[in-house]
Amino acid sequence: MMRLAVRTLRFRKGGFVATFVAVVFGTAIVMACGGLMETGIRSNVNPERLAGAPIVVTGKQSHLRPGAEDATALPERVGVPTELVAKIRSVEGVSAAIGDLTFPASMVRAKGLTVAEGHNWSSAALAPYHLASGRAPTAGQVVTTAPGTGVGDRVTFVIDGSPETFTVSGIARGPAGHAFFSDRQAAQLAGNPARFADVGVLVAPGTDVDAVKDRIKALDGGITVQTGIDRGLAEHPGTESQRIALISIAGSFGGIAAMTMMFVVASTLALSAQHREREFALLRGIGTTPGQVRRMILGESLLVSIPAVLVGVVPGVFLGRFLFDELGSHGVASPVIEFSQGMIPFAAGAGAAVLAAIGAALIAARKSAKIRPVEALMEASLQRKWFGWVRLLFGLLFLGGGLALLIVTAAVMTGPLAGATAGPSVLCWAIGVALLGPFWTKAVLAIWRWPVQLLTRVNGRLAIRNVTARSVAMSAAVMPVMLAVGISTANLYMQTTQVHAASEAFTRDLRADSVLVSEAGMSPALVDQVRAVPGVASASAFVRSTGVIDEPRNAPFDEDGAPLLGVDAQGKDGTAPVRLTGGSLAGLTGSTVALPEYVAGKMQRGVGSEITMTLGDGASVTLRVVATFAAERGYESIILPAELVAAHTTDGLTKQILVRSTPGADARPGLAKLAAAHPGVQVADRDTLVAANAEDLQTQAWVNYMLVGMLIAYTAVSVVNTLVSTTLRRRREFALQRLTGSTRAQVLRMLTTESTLVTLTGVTLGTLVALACLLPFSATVSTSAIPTGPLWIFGAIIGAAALLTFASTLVPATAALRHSPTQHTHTD
Amino acid sequence: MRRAQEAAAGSEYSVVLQDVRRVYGRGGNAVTALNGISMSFARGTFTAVMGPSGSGKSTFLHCAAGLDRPTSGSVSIDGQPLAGLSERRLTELRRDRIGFVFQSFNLLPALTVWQNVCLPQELDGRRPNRAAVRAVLDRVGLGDRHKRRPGELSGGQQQRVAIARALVARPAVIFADEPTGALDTQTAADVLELLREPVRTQGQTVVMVTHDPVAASYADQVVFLADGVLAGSLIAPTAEEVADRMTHLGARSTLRAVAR
Repeated sequence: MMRLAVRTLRFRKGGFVATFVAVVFGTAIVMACGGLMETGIRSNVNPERLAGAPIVVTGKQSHLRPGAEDATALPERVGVPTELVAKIRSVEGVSAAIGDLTFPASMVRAKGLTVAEGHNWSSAALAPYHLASGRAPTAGQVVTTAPGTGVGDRVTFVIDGSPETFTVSGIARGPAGHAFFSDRQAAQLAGNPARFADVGVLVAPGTDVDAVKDRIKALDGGITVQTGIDRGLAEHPGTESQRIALISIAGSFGGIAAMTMMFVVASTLALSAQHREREFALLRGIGTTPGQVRRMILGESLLVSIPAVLVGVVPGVFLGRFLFDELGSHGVASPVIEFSQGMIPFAAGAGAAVLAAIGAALIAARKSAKIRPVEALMEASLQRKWFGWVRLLFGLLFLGGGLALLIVTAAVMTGPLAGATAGPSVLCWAIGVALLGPFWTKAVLAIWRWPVQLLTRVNGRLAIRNVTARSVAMSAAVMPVMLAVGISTANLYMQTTQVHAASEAFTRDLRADSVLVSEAGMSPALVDQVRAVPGVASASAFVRSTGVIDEPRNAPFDEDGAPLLGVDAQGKDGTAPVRLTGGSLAGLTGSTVALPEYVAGKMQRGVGSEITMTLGDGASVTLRVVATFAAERGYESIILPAELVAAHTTDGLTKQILVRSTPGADARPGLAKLAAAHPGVQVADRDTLVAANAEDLQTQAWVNYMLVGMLIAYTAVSVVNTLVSTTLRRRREFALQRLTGSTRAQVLRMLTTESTLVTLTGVTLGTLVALACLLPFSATVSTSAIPTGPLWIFGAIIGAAALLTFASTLVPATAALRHSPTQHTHTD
Repeated sequence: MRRAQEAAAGSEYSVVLQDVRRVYGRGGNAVTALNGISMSFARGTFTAVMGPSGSGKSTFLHCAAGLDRPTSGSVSIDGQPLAGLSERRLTELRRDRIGFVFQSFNLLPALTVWQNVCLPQELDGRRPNRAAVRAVLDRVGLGDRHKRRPGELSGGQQQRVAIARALVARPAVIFADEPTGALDTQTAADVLELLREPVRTQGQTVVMVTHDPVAASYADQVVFLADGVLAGSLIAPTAEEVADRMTHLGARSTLRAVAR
């Protein structure tokens, strides 16, 4: 049978082109996603500053809430307590243990502020840095890596918001962006001198590094010990949460791509099998058993897909790297991580493609193998019976799944979480509709018949009769259109609705008119100075982080943690983005907290009670509740004093000060003057704040656009293939039409009407599927059930669908009509 | 299933039909194509089945060859009843014992003439005897064209290839459905000779459906079908006798000869 399959393929190359293309793209996409996933799982960052130390000890960047199953990733650097260094030094095999103090130190240059890290000089041995000129620093001196500075120069650093001047005592050769101060001075400058950012451990040559590593690990449960390539992660503590994001994006994108590939390959194979019905009937007639027919179809499918997989590997490699670079430049993936794509993504892509091909072939072969020889040889057979109990069962199952997800989205999910169930629900609905395609197609056609019939006359009538009688074939053309329109509309509008809702939530509660920002940080003294500026009604520092509520245990936040907002104590007219419902923020100092009303109610902790939290860097604090406020469900944050939050971030800096002007006054000139006096401080107004927030949200939207784009390109292959091959098959029918009196133009007009009907039906079904997903999503995420977003997106989708449909039908038809109608006697 | 060259012992009839009925559709739409046909075809005979359009000739042939299952009644090929066989066993039996020549679309367009002729044996898992295949192709007059594809052959040439395919496997019986329908008179005569020759020389059984009285005159006996039932037979008739009988079949039996 393989020989027969080979000969058939050689003869019928054209019929398998669509399958080939679909498998090539599918393999490439799944491979690329596999590479992204592998990159996320490995998270290889080359150590630079710590390369000289074979073992690096850091704090554990995750916190397990008591009673929870999964740990929460901590976004701020946890660090290693200084007392532990002596213990590490005494571990057998360790020759030296050097603590590394890290703090933000921005250098003031002629062109502005360069953000850099300051360290204690003894940690320079870890890279190791070599002095190119000069000596080690003493008090008041600094060793820099920056080009353009010379020994003896006076440079100004902004540390913790205040500028200080140092003399350069030496220049070091090594990774740029770091400055070294004397050990004692570094301890004074660092925000938290009791904790080292990390500890580099040196061992005597020849020692078993892994054994030493295990001994150090046994010292304390709160530390992480890294060797080899993992040491790089110690230099970039924020990578943990980005890593999880990368893995989940790659996983979901790859999964959807694999499923879509199976759908497309199944439909292209089924279509080509349908068109070869007579051939299969002949084969059965001259003595091919059903099993042999099945093996032949399977053989053909493998012969097409295996070369396609090999071809698809090439773009897969490039696509993976391209996607990673794009994600990195948009801030979704951490750009310091190395991209790796080994054998596993290749195997995953190839495996998925081959499985899709086999599964599709078996499905297509089921019908073909059972053909009765005589049935197919009869001329008058109009269309196959499409209905089967298995198909009905699966169709109902998928529709039921979509309905279940709809209910969950509407009733259970809150806020941004709704996307997790709304996204898959589109696929469930789409597959459910596709499996029962002819039924839905006939139903929708019944509606669209009348307006179309009114507008067109003879050609319209013939077109409508054609599509009604051939509803199975028409459904095969409508389904890919429905899939493309449904998925793209749902995804794009989910995105715009989400962005709009988040932006609304932000804007509604934003009560600042201006904001001062500085990457280098601002001191508390500056906040007081801002309050003194004429026209300013109130000012507050503004810091963000993430934390975990440990006590009570029923806090309604999941393993991603609770967003924290740090603001200063303020009265009712303050700048804090909250609408108070109880208590007052005037007492927000020291160890106090303000909770969203819903959270306070759930935990049964009102004003005056206490809760225990773990802050972003792992520190545990007991806080007294001083106020409750109203917040959008799904967008709740916890409010703490700004100094408390800032003290427990990696940088320990206040990077934003929110300012509210008195009504009618303009504080901006005064603020601008104040900002000019402090290097690195800039003033931005309310609109800039809103725009900056929107831009952050847009970054995440970008990932979605990428996904939608690829899926549409993919289903477009299916649309084109179905329509082109169906149209070409109908050559004899067109010839007959012309012989009975139609002109070429009339045949084309009839086809135009048919295409209009296909487009209308596909768009209608696709929009219904999308609405089934969008309405509950929108009701949950924002205040109204109507999704928000520009209408031109929908217009573009419909336009693209129409263009594809018309082009795929009319172009081959025009080519087929070029010949004289009497030329068609026996065809195949 | 390995082929036994000897036929099932003792049966002198290649094909036996007993009270075969074939009904299409259900209820009010039911169409009775065959209404109780009982017939036997002896080994080594050339039979023509004739009748006007709609008499059920093609249906009769399909049921007799195992391509279609009758609604009731039984069919036996070489003593083997077709009734209880699974689709797979039936197919293997067909492959082994029956050769079929369709009216059109006989050949797989993807295969060459040679590959088309060898196909049934390949499906059976046997290696075809090259000399035998070449001999058969020479006999049908296409020995030099065996590398061509069906698309490059005329209708008559395609028909001859189909006959070659039916002959080379030496089946128990060959069924032919209007084999000369689309051919000019000379080619038709060639094809009919090709069908008659193995009957004489090798004891082949051939059953041919036709509406052409000239073609029917090549046969040993002609059986008439009208409205789904047998309507008589003729032994070694001439073309004129056949034509005359055709004019008076079934509902036409009231026709009188019209004077010219």
